[in-house]
Formats: sequence, C-alpha cells, structure tokens
Amino acid sequence: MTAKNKKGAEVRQVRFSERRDAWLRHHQTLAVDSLVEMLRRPISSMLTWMVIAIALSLPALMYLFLLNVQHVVGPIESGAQLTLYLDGAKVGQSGQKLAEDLQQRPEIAATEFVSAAQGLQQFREYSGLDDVIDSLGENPLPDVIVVKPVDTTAGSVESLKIMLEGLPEVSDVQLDLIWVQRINHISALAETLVGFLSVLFSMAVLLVVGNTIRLAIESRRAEILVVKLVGGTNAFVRRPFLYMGFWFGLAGGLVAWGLIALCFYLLSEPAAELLASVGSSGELVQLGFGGVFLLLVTAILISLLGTVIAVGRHIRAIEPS
Amino acid sequence: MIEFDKVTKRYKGGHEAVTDLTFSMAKGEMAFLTGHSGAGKSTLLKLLANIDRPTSGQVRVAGQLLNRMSSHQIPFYRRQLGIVFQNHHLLMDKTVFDNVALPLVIEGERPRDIARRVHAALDKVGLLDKEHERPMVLSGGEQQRVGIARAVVTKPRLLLADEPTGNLDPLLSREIMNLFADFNRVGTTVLIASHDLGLIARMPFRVMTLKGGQMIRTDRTVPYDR
Repeated sequence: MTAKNKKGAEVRQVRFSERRDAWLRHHQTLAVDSLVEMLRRPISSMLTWMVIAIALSLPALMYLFLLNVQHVVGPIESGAQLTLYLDGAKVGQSGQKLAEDLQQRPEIAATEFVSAAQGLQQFREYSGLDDVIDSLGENPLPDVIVVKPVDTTAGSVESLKIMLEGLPEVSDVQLDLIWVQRINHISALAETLVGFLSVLFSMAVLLVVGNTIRLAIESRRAEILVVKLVGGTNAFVRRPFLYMGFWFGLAGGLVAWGLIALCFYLLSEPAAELLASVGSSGELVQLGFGGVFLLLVTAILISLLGTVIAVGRHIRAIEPS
Repeated sequence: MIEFDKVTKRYKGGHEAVTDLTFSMAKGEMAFLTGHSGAGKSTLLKLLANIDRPTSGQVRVAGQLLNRMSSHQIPFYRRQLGIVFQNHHLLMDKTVFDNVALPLVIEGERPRDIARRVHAALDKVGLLDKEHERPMVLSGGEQQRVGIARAVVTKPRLLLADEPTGNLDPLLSREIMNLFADFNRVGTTVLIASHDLGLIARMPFRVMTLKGGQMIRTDRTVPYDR
C-alpha cells in the first residue's frame, strides 16, 4: 500500500483513542455531577431514597425472618425421632433388652426405654392430673422405646419406620415429624409469598424511580432541547439521568441496609430470649456481607431499569420544533 | 453550500409554510432572509437545521441530502452548523463559559482545547471578562453575543441566525451584524433571517425576500413592499 494510505489509518487510530478518552472523561464528570446534583436537593432526594429503602427492606426482612425460622426449626427436625409402643403381652419384661438390641443396628443412633411406670410418672409430673391418674387404678400406658435414627432424611426415616413396625413386639410406631413437616409446608408457602411480594415491591421501586427521573427530565426540558439543537445525541442526553438512577439505587440500597440493621438491633434482645427458650443455641441469621452486596446490587439494578424505561420513553419525545 | 430544490413544507392541518421554493447559496456567501412574519423565514431555517422535513422537494447542505437523514445522523449533521436563536436558548443555571463550551463537550473535545476555543470565541464577541457570570445577569445584547459565541465555537461551515437583533437597539444590532460579517470574511457561509430592513440595506450582502412561502426577490436592494 502507499504511504498515503498508511498515514490515513494512523490518523483514524489517534482519533479513536481521543474519542474514547473524551467518552471516559465525560462519564467521570457526569458521575460526579449527577451525585452532586442529587445531594444538592437533600429533602426530595431523601424522600426517594426512603421509598426505595422501605420497598426493598420489607421483602428483605421477611426473607430474613423466614431464614431464621428455618434456622430454629432445622435442628429440631434433625432430632426427628420414632416412638415405638410395645405390646405388653408379647414383650413382657424384655423391653429394656429390645431397646439395647435395636441400639446395635447401624441405622439407629440411640434408643431410650421408657417403661409404663416411668411414662405414668412423667405424665403425672407434666399434667398435674394426679387425682384422675389415681382413680384409674391400673396403668393404661404401654412400655415405650424412643428411637433416634442416624439418617434423618424423610425417606430413610420412613423405611426405618416400616422395618420397626414389622417387629412382633411393637404394636404401633409414631413418627414425631408431622409438626416439623407442617412447619416446612408453611415455610414453603411463606417463601412463595415473600417471593411474590419481592416482585411487587421491586415494581414499586421501578415506578418510583421512573417517576422521579421523569420529573427530572421534565425540569430540564429546556436544557435537553438546547443540547439537541447543538448536536447532542440521545445517548448524550440520556447519560446524566442514567447516572442519577444509579445513585438513587445505591443510596436507596444503603438506607435499606441501615433500616434492616436497625430492625436487627431492636430485635436482638427479644430474639435471643426466644431462641434460648426453645433451646436453640444459635444466633440470629444476619444479612451478612453477601446479603448486603446482593441488596445493593439489586437496588442499583432495579433503579437503573426504572431509569432506562423512563429515559427511553421521555427523552426521545423531546425534540426541537 | 445550500440548495433548495422545489421545496414545499405543509404542516398538519394543511397550512403551507413554504411553497415550491428553489434557491441556492454558494460556499462562503453571506445573505439575509427577509419578509413579513409568517412568510416562511422560520420554516426555511428549521428545514436547514433538520428540525422539520420538507413535504416534497429536496434540501441539500454541503452536499448532504437532509430529507433522508436518519434520526441517528441528525445530531452529527447539526454539529456542522452554528445556529443563533432569537430567544438565545441559553442555559440559565450554567456559566457563560459552560454555555459556550456545550457544543465542544458534546463533540468530546479535551478540556484544554475546550478552554482555549471557548476563550477565543468569547474574545471574538467581546465577553471574555464575563465567562464566570450566569446569562441571567447579562443584558439582552450580551446574551445574544453568548449565543453567537456558542454557535461559532465549533468553527461551523454554515452559520444560521434567526432574528439575531430582534430585541436590540440599533447600535447593538449593527455590532452584531458586523460580527457575522467578520465570520463570513474568514470563510463561513452565513444566512441571517431578519426584518431589520434599515440595517440590512446598509450591508453589502444578498437579500432574499419571502412572501407567502415563496421567494419573491433575491437581490442586493432592499425589497419591502409596504
């Protein structure tokens, strides 16, 4: 190729890198300018942050509540146990022996033999119905063996139950899992509900940010017209508003974090008491680093999406006439 | 530089602002566009700025056919023009410097170059000492000169002005017109819509007269049929 062509290519390259630098510089300036712009109107900006923060912290708190319930219920579930009611006529005095035999099996972690007499004694202590029990004359309770399985997943507990029911000495096996299952069902239901509400609240954030940006665009209509008249592209006009949306999202997310932290601070004492009373040694499940990150990213993304929608709709409509 | 070929612009509702308009301007020429209000001056300028599109006919500027320009291309086309508006269209919450710098910022110039060129433009219109003021505190004539500085800061090939002396006293008007003549002297094509006939008459440039959307005269005499 000729030297002339080569030079032409070089000129183009320089211009491209200059354009890119200009573009980056413009973005830098805008990022700072739009932040300053937002902070210059603290009251109205704060209202928007609060709406975003409340709309985000509500589903986040509900989700955390759910996590904590599962956290408390979890250990109880893992202590799932089977209660074997023994047939007195067949077992005779060998209940204790049967409990020890079962203990040897690999799928059983522990067994505890509770004789009919012990059972009656425990019932007497718990219920306080001494008179009624005395009037019975004969002990109506069977001997009982409490079995704790090694593997507590529903399937293996179920098969262990079938095996134990096959034993001749056992008249009935009760699986103490029903209420745990109920809690699981309720928490699955709650999870769906929280998911649905999260979508609703996210849409609220979308609309609030969209409306705020629409008003900002409206208030700068004259400026947008001038920019378009002197050759500004739609992208150029859009940019400051997109940064505004970003800052609103970030600020809203930070306030939401603050609200959640406040809520945890207020709840920490009663929650500790509650946890202690149900015998859970654990602490409350907190938002954590990952949670905060997710909260902020979500806030920014939703806010940006609301901005993109508002900006796309309104900026193209402003044309000189 | 400018070619109108049988251009008609009909607005919604049927009003025909310009009808079958054909004229041209050479590169480096300066001309006045005059006529009663409603004669089509503003429409002609809007067609040139690609704010409006002709209903029929062709408008060419520097060889570019405006009719078929996509909305994506329009901003880049407008960067080749300098436009001075009657009502200035300044950003009142920005400084004079920022107002004049706007077209350069849009083009993505380096801050160093922007400062140099803005100062040169402000110097040319005699407002270098007002760069940190806001347009609000300036007089009408000063505001108009800020608008002119903004229009010429990019060194456009074509300078359009819509009633640039609309609200100014005769002395200031004369100054502004001389400013345009200065830009024309260095090669810029200048088209000024104005009904300040007394002023136009004293300047040695072509005068095009519109009436009812048609070019009735194009010569150097002052054509005004009262």
